[in-house]
Amino acid sequence: MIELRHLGKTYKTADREIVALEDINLSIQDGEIFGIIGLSGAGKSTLVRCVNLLEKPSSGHVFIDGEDITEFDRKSLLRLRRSIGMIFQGFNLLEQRSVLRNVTFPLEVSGVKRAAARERATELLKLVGLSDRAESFPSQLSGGQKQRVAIARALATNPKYLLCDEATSALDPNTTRSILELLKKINQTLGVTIIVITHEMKVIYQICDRVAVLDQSRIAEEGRVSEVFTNPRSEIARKLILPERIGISWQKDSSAIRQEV
Amino acid sequence: MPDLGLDVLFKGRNFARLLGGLGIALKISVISILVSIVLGTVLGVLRQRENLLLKAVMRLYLEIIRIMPQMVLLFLVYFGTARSFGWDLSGETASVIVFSLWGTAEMSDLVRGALSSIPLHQQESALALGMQKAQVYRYVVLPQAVRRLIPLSINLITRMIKTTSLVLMIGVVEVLKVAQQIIEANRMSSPNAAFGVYLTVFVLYFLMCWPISMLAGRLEKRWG
Repeated sequence: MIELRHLGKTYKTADREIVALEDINLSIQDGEIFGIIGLSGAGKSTLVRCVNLLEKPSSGHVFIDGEDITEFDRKSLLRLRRSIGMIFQGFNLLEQRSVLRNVTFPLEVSGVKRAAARERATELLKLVGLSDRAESFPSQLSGGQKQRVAIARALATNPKYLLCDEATSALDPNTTRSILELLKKINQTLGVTIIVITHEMKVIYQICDRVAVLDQSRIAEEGRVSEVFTNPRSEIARKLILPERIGISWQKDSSAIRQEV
Repeated sequence: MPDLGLDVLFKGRNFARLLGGLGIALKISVISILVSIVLGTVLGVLRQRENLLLKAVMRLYLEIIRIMPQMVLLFLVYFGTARSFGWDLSGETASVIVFSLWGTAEMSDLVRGALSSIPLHQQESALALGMQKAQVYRYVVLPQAVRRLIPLSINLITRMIKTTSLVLMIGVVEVLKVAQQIIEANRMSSPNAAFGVYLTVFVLYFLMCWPISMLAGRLEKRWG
C-alpha cells in the first residue's frame, strides 16, 4: 500500500517560491489501478516522483508498505526503486542497445547473471507482445512498440508497483488503447499496482479503479472512477469530464465551454 | 611555371628547421590541449552544480577569455607580468599558460553544454530503474555527452593548433617564425621564397589538423 500523508513540495528559485504540491493525502491499495488527473502544471508529475523519491518532498511523509521512505538511506532507496517500476512519456530507451538488452539493463546493473537476465527479458518481451523484435534496435520501432519495451524494462526487476507518467500522451488513440490494455493485463495477471498520471480523461475511464483530481497543487476530488464521472463535485472535475460527456452537443455549447476551459 | 622559390627549402638545414619550428608549435598546443581537456572537464562538471559563487566566478572568467583577443592575452602574460610581478616567464611557458586558460574556458563551456543537453527525464528514468548516481553517469549521461562533445572539442583543438602561430609575437621561434627567418636570410639569393615557404607552412598545418578531423569523423560515425 502506498500512503501519502500531508505531502508538500515547494521549489525555491532565486527570487520566489513555487508551490507544486500542498497537503496531499492519498492511500493507494495493493492491486488497484489508481489514476491521477489534472491540467498541465497541476503538480501530477511532481506527485508521482515523490513516490519513488525522484523528488524529495519538502514536507509530509510517504509510506510504502508501512515504511516511511522519506527517511530511507541510499541503499534502501535503491532497493525501493527496484520494487517500483516507472515509465515515461518519452520512452528513454538506450538507443545503442537492442530491445532485449534494454530489458536486461536494469538487471545487469543490479548484478543479475547474464543468462538469468536474458531469460527474464525474453519472458517479459513475450508478455508485452514483442518476442519477434528482441534483436531490433529502438530506432526501428514505432512509438507504441517503444513504450512496450519500456514497460518490459520497468517490470524486469519484478516490481510491486508501476508508475506511469503520461505514458500514453505521445501516442495516437489506437496505440494508446492497446498500451492501456497491456497495463490492465499486467495489473490483472501479475497483480502489479499501477499509478497512472494523465491529463486525458479517457485514460482514466478506460483502466482506472479510482481517481484523484489534482488542481493547483491540491487534491480537488477523489473517489471511484464511476462516481467521479457520474457525479463530479469539483469544478475542475466537471471541466475535465465535460467535453467527453457532452459528445454531440459540444458544437452547440462550444463557445460557453471554451470560455469555461 | 613561375618560380615559387621552393629551392630554398633544400638549402642547408632549412626544411629540418621548419619541422623543428612545427615541433615547438605542436609542443605548446599538445600541452595546452591536455591541460584544457582535463581542467575543462572538471570545471564543466562543477558548473552543473547550483553554486552561485562558482557560477559567478566561472562566468567572469569565461567572459574575459572570450572578449580578450588571444594576442592581448599573450602580451599581458608575457610582457605584463614581467614588469608588474617580476616574473621571468619564457615565451613558451607564457604561451602554454595563455592557451591553457583559453582552452580550459572553452572546454568547460562545451562540457557543460553537452551535459545539460542530456534531458533530465533520461536521468530520472535511469534512477527509477534503481541505478546509482555513478551508474547513471557511466551508462546514460557520459556516452551521449561524449558523442556530442567530440565534434565540438575537435574544432577547439584545431583552432588551438592554428592559433599557436601567434606566439611568434612574444619571441617564440615556432614554424611561422622559422619560415620568416628563412625568407629573410635568402632575400638576395631567392627573392621569391615567400610563396614557397609559406605554402610549405600551410601544408604542414594541414597535415597536422586534417588527421584530427578525420579521426573525429570516424569516432562520430562509430558512436553515432
